[in-house]
Amino acid sequence: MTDATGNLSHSPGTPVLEVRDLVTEFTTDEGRLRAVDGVSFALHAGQTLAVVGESGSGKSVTSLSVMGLLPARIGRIASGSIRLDGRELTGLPERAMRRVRGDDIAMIFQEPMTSLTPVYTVGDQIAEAILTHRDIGRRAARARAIELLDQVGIPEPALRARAYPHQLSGGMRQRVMIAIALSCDPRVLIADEPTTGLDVTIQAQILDLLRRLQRDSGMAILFITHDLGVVAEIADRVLVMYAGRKVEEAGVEALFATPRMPYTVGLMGSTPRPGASARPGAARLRAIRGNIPSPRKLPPGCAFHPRCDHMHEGVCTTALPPLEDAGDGHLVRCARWRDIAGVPS
Amino acid sequence: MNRVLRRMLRRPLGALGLLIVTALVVVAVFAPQIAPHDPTRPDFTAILAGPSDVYWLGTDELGRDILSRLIWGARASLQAGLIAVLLAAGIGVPIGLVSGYFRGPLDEYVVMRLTDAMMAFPVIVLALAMTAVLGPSLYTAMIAIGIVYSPIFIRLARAQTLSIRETEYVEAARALGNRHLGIMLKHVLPNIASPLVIQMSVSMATAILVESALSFLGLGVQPPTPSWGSMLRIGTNYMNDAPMISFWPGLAIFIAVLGINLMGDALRDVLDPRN
Repeated sequence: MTDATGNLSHSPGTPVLEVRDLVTEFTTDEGRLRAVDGVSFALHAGQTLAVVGESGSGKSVTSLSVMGLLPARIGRIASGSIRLDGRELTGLPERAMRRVRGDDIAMIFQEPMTSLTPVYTVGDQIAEAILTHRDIGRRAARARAIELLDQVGIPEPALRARAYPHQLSGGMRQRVMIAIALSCDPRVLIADEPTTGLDVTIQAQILDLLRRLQRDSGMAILFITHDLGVVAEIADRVLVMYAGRKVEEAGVEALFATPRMPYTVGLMGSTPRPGASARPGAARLRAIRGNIPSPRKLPPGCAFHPRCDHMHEGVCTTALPPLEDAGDGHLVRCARWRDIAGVPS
Repeated sequence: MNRVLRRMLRRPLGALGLLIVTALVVVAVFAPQIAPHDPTRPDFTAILAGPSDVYWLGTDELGRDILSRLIWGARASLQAGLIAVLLAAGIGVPIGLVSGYFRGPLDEYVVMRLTDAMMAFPVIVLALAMTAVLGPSLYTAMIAIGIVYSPIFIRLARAQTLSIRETEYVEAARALGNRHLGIMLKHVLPNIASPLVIQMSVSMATAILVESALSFLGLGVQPPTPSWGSMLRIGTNYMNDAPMISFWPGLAIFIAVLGINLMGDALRDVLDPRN
């Protein structure tokens, strides 16, 4: 999967995808609202960055901003920069952006049941994706499609290439989606909750497949999910989002060992862990009380304070806490993280 | 296509509809070979004659063979129906597709309001006005019907596009770097084709009726070319002496419309993804 242009030759220092201070706004009947507010991250080749958050936290809008697929006339990138291999993507004309999509940055979606056009065979759909960006013959594209189906672990690929989407199971369809995404050897794969609609056993298979393909090709993966179990399985680094802002970012081990932000702690407390419930006296799953606030009326100060157990009147309710480095690049946005962790300031 | 055909033939009414339509098409295409007489040649020895072994369905006021005129009339009616509907779909589908795909103020305030205005007008009156402007002939009747029917296709194509554009496969197609035009033609159009095909068959039946009505009013096919509508009108003058002159074209219109409607109904059932 490594091509001659040297996909793997990048030094680990330069990120493939770098997003800086991204602000994405939507124009609604009630005025403008910020779905993403000042999010930054860097994604390196061969690395997987998981973006975690509840529905409405802005994680999908972040990925749509990167793809330049915000809904026309409603959504727009208000400020910030998105760089692919150092090349600025914001403000790029639609023509140039079309060449990036599917070629440099590919995307797989949440619903494998509905992400494939029902009227064409899966082989045709993969071939079509190749022909969009590569100047090769239809016959060669079809042969490549069968190769890709084989690579994503579909048995009898030549036969399955002639199947229509409704003839395949959910897991198979997600594999086809992955084959389409891989068809042009993307540098970055954005996976938006790719395992949400699948059985747990199939989920594990798909995650395995993504890991294997990443090892072979060196592509970077931006993995969007609300499932911390999946994060633990696949991510190298984790970015936690809340109400459109980054609230914590750390390496996956550091995050699970010492989550700093009370919101992250809450997310972990509300995620079932295998084996945990089998122990006597194991803690019950705890839901975070309340709901994610609407971007229309964000609470002042830390947006999480109305739901937080560690909230201090006057500290958390006035100013938005800055993103602080808690050591080793473990970033946290919480005014009280030192008090909570017992670290002297 | 074969599968659709087989499933239609399994339904008794669908098979009947298909049989009628096929028969009509064969009759229209091979009219010169099938018709026992020249449809325009008068026989002054047999004016307003009843059925006989020479003229199976009798003759009209000029002694022309009614059966032959019916057979030739099938051409005008089917042509009018087919071309009018193709024209309507040809105008309506692209407009509805583009309008529904891009949405926006142009869709909301221009395209939709214009179709509203056109649909508020009675079909016949609008077609009458157009034939008055363009002059009466089969072709102006076809064009008039095609234009009058196009809002139905704008609406239908737009409504279907609105639902398809929100699907994940359209988003996925964009994420692959496809152009809007390519997405419309390759991903949206094939997925909205079934309801459009059904609407075309239903509209074709009513287009035949409208063409007959226009010919009945003298604004469609011009004499001496036979058409079912004009035959019906001429027959009204001889209602007391020879009621069968009006009866036969009426029956032909009835059967043709019935057959196309049955075919359309069966097509709807067969193409419904829920079956």
